[in-house]
Amino acid sequence: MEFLRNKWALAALVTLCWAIAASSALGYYYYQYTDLVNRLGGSLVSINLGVDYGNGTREWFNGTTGITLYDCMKQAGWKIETKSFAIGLYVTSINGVKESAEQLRYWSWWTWTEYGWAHGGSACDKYIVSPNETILWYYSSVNSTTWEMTPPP
Amino acid sequence: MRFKLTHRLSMLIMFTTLCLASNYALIGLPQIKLMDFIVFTGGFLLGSAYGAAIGILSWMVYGTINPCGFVPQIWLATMFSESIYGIMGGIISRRFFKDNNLNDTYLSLRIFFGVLGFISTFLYDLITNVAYATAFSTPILVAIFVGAPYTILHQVCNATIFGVGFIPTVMALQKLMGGMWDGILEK
Repeated sequence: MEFLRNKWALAALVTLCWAIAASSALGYYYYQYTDLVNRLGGSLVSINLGVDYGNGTREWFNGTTGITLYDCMKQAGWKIETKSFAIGLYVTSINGVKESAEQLRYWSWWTWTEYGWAHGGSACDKYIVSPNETILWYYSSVNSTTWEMTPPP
Repeated sequence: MRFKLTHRLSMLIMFTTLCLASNYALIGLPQIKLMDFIVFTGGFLLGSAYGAAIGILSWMVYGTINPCGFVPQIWLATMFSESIYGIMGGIISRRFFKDNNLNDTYLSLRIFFGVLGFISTFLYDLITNVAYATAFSTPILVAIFVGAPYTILHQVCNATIFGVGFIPTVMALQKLMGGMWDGILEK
């Protein structure tokens, strides 16, 4: 049992256990996610979708239907430009209004909660909408120091 | 000194009844069982063949008289995969501990047995999930992933039980039986 005196060997064994548990958990959540998407596949959800261009113009598309937020945006007839990443789509332009690195203005989506607007936590094509949810795309300005996005008014 | 066959058989029966009694006593706690630990300890002290026999005999009874029902494929799978613990216990005792004192590197040994409990439980769960998938015509990956919360709980519990309980149990049994085992502790 010489190898038990090697701390790295023990650490490797413990890491192996962690990897097995983490992989199992990952598989579980992936299955739950795909199962949910499959089950929702036949039933579109209606939401209140809005877009705010950051210049006082805000348009609402109530009753827009889809499974993901991206579906709803397309169903609303928006012209959307995106970049694709491993974690999902990144929106660079909506209806001709492009993000601007010079002006530090970017598109972000926000969902309405009882506490106010909450920033969307995932890519729009990965987010499965809930019935009657209110979602707003906002052309946010970004704090150059903290990189925090300004919530919609 | 070696134990006589009658002694070995009586120990085999005692380990088996201990498995059954603890399993029925803990029936309300899913995935938290002492059986795996007892089978491993039996294999460690008596050798792989006896360890495997403890696992098979325990499941032979527990799988038949079980409140969750009786499914032949799963029963066979659990019966033989439970023997993994006993076989592994026997292999570990012969390969690693022949000339070793369990007091050495105490913490490291605890971690080692915890890891061993985790990995053998992973193998056990893998085999039983494959058997379940075959019995109920479910895709194997789905069976493995859907049961993941239970298997993780099973693995973590066994790692804890093995890590915390194994060395004190073996040392106590060694003391009780006079320190002469037909396994790693034989001097």
